[in-house]
Amino acid sequence: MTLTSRTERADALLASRVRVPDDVVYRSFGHESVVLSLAEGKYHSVNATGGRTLEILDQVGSVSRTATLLADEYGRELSEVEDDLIEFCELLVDRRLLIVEPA
Amino acid sequence: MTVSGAYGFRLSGLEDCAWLGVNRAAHWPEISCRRDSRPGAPEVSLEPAGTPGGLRLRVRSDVAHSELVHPLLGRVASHLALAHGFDGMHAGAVAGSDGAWAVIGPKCAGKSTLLASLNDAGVPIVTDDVLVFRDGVAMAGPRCIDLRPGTQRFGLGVAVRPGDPRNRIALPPVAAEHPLAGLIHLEWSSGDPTMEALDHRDAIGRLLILRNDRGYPRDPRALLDLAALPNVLLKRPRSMSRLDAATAEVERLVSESREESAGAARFLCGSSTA
Repeated sequence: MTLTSRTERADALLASRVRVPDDVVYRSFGHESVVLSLAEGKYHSVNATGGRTLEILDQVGSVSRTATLLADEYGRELSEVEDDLIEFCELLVDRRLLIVEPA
Repeated sequence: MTVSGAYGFRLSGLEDCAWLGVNRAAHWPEISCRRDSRPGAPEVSLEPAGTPGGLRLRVRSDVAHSELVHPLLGRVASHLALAHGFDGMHAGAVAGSDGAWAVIGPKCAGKSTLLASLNDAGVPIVTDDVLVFRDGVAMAGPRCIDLRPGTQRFGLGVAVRPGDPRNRIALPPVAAEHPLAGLIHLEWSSGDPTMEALDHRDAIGRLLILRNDRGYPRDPRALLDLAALPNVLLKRPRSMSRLDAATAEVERLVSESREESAGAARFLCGSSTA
């Protein structure tokens, strides 16, 4: 039951449009990226892959398209990338660094 | 060629050009200034000019030129700058071999005194109180520094205005634009002057505090860009007797070329993963 629920949530997220909120900015600082939330008054660090992922999410606005681009870029299986990306997106959403647009 | 200007704008229509000379600023947009004799007029105000995006600066008739140059021009500079796509912050700046180093600190952090000392040492002063920048390029400010009593070693200067204990010293003209090379954050301490590199997280924290207090830099992306530059912390005692040592620290920093000096590598931001 739990597995089914997670898969449904994951599928829904994969099919979603997302955007970075207007009050969130990010920038690469070498081997890490800083994501700054002005509304929260907090900044977060992500590694280089996380920074690149956020950049693509921001540019294309589609989780599934981002997964495809990342799989190509890093030479990994799409299903693996999707699992990682869903987890990363959930983390960003929890911290209000990413917004899932209504379908 | 020296023209009257400051903060990224040429100023025309002023009856006096004192403290406003900058070099190589012919490309700066022009702001026309005119006196405002209307009863109850504000000290300074901005209004649209004839050209799209153009602005005119109205200066109340009884406002002295010295007062317009500082602090009034500084107060409107940020608004002027935003209207032209610039950003700004409460900071001074000095010119070094790699460009301008912003000098940042809260009120009474000794910014102006340190800048006056650097001017005495021959370091070009880009601006004293307000730093306007765009795309990583700093714009020169007015050619003066207002100093509190107790700083006579920099010369008597002229009185800022009747009843104001501060004295104004003049600065030589400077190039209009300087690429931003780094930021110097000021703190008081009890020991000898020390300078240490700040990592980008520390720099972001300090710039966020500045932004929360003053509202600038307005663009948060600019804030991150500033944090990506070399940021250093200069700690020094309040005593004027240690001012020369602090000045020497800054002189050494800004005269170093990051590309040519391996020693400057300590000012590059460190990196880490979270």
